Amino acid sequence: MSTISFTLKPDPSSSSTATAGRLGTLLVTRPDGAQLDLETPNFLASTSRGAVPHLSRDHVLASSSTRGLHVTYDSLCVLEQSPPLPPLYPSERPMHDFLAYPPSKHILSLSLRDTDDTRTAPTNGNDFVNVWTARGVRRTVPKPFHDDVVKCHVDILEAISDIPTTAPPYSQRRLEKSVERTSGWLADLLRRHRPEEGSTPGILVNMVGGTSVQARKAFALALQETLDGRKLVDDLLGVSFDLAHLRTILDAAGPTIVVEEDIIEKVQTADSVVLVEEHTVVQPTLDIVEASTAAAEDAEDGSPSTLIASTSTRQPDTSTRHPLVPYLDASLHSIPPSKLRVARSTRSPHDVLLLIRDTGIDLFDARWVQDAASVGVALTFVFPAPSDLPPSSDVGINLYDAAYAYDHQPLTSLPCDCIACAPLPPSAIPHTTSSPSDALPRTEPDAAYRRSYIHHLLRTHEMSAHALLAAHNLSVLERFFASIRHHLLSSEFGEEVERFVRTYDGRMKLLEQARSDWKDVDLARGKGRLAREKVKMAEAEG
Amino acid sequence: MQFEVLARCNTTRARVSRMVLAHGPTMLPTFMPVATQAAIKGLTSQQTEALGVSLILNNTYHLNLRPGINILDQVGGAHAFQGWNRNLLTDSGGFQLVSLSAFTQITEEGALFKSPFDGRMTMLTPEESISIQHAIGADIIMQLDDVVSSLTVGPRVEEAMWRSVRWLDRCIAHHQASGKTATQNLFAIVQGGLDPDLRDKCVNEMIKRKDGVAGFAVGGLSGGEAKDVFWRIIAQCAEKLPADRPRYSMGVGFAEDLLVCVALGIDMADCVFPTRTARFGVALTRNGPLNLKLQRHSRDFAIIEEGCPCPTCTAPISRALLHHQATHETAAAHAITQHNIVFQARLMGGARDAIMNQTFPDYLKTFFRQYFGKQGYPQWCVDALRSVGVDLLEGDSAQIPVVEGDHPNWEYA
Repeated sequence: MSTISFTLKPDPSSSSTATAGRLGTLLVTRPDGAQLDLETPNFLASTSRGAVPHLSRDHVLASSSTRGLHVTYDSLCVLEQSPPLPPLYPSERPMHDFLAYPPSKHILSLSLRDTDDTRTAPTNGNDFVNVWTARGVRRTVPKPFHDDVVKCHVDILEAISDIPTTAPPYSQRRLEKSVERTSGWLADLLRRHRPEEGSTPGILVNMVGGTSVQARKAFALALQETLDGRKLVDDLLGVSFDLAHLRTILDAAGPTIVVEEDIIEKVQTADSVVLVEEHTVVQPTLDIVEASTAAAEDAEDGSPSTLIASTSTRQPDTSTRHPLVPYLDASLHSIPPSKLRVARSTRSPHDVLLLIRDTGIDLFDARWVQDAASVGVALTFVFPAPSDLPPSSDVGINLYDAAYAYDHQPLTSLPCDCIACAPLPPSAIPHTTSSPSDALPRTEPDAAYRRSYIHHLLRTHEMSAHALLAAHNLSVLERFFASIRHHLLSSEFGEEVERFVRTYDGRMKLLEQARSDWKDVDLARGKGRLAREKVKMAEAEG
Repeated sequence: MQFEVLARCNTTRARVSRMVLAHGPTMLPTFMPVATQAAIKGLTSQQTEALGVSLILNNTYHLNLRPGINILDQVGGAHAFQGWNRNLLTDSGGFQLVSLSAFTQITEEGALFKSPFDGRMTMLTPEESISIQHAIGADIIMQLDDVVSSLTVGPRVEEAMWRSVRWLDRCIAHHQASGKTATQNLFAIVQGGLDPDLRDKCVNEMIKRKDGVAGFAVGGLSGGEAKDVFWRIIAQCAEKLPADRPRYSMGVGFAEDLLVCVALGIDMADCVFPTRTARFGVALTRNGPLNLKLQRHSRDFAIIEEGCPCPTCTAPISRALLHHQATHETAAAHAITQHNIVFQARLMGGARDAIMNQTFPDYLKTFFRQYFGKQGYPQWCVDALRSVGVDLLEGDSAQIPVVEGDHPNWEYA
């Protein structure tokens, strides 16, 4: 039996820190005594169909950044299989071994759906959720899903939740149903698979409630309900937050502005609404939302803009507080601080730093760094931010750019142990027993891969570019989190976060350009290009 | 180059030899994976070397276009550019004359290409091809030959053959004047289409230039000609080409092609097949190719091939997982590519061992029995191996059917 635990590290300083961040340890102990730990704050690498994108198994093994992995059931093509395949794999840890991630090296976390997939689907029911898979929408029923996944012996399991699949906004009734169903399904899971003495899987629950503070608090309270003498929350390893879902709701709600509390009345009676500049981070506090929504409805032009004011008493710095914090805080209201806090669908290092500082999130996903690798971006940001960078500097470099054709430097001048910057000297498989081998032992370390080479690979549509960048970006992220942990309890942490947020471009404009460059090369060299070339030639001749 | 024959098969014309180049030794016979644009698709150089590969192929035409000579000069050559520390062979660009023939005009001076990427015109002369290969820095460089499709008939074939001889002379002259003959080794390429008479003339002419070249290749094949014709041309050329130079059959190939060529006296071969088919989800095994995309593999927890030492099979990654990921995840393309390269390398390594132990005829029979036993032996393989003293139909194999036609092994739904 493997066990899993999350423990907070005591804060040595006597005064309460200025931030909500905390240090912790997520520890998995295997039956043979081997231990796997993730010091938090930290991340889980994302997977697609069970693979870490672009990384073959030997590269996963060579990377120290893939210790924690998150798998989504929907992309395993499981939902089309009858019976589902992974639980049938003949081993004691079926999911680990089916996906070929040795239990001695990897902590495996699993949830049903990929939070980054915000496509709408038919609405969920009392006994099922609808999930997008490679072959379309599939219905998933909680009981068999939970039973199958428990058989797979993953280390962390996020219970199925009722995240509305239709387009926002969501009515109060819909959010109430979400609260009832999610807590009901969780109770059912715990009733049948109560984790004994910290045995795996550690259970997470997705904190539902949309952008309704009321609903979110109600859900947190629902977790205080008891089941066989124990509160639901007591049997949880932790809680998780689907940030993509929150952003979807907020985006649909229309533009927001921030005003000081004492001029709210003036704004409510104004004839028009003024929008702040696009890049200002706003902090909605929903105690005011109902009143300001009513005011907006009264507005002459009938535009759906919402007036928001900040009334929160905990304001490290109102100009950079993460916009989703009020919702997360509402959910954490009655959750013991010792529970692991997981955020999914972060989009930037800014997200990570602000969520640590403002809400004390412990575990993050890595999808955005992996996606950057998929479009040719090598991340270069460091924390604390260097003092010599101009404001809004890019977080990385877009290697599609022509400037890199002649740049023969490695990806970074800082120490990096990824396979791109410090390639592993190979140990050649022997193919003969009686005739001589032609293996050649290394006398020197292999040189780091150059930017010009990766630029060339990107421009010629070669996949190895993404393998090198994926490994590198995960390594950058690993160093980022190590540095966060190092500075977290210092009194300068808050300042350093501020400085980082000013120094680097949180909107990641770099990625937009890279995505466009990727698309150009794919059109020229990717699937279907022969047909496109023929058309082009015919047009040129005709 | 140092080239030493270590053993000869008492039955066939196979031999084991060691070739030592500027980037280390390569045992022959060997299969060279193709890294067209300075990368084995999906793999890093360290991954390729870890599979037990010591010699790969880059393409001159492509590298000349991208990244171009300036960049290669700045970094010190293609080895440094792609991080490959072992032996490198460059094809001269001759094959592109055929594959991109819609865009090509050939004269005595050279070949005028119109790039399909950007419409630019590039003139490739024998001297220019050698110069580019000098900048690339490959350990083995190929002459620029006038290649015609193997299905071409008529006077064009003979014209191309004689022009290849003249271009060889120009390549030799340019190479020797460069001072790079100590580190870069020039190979000649025998042309002549499918005409034994033209082939014979070409071999004779090129042998006269023996002192100017380090090895000989047989080109102009693997273009869709019947396998029965293919093996006879290989046999004819290999028989006459000098024993003290490596012999390279270009564009080969499938497992059966490789073993037949080795039996006929070939030492080196290259082909995109194993790596390309991997990306489409097909894994090569001793029992034939597995089309992992087929439904029948969707629930198979077995690895691709028992006993395979590749990173994929030793992980172990199951056929079922590869079925779900192949053609959807680049990681699966890499996994099957690694397996297929190891399959080819094991095939040749096993041949080397067998030749040294004088068990090569048995090796051939065992392989063919396992690979083709169910569907029947291709007639051309039976004929080719019989010509060098190996009877595939001997003993227990007598009842295995023999099938006409080229019949590569494949897995269908």
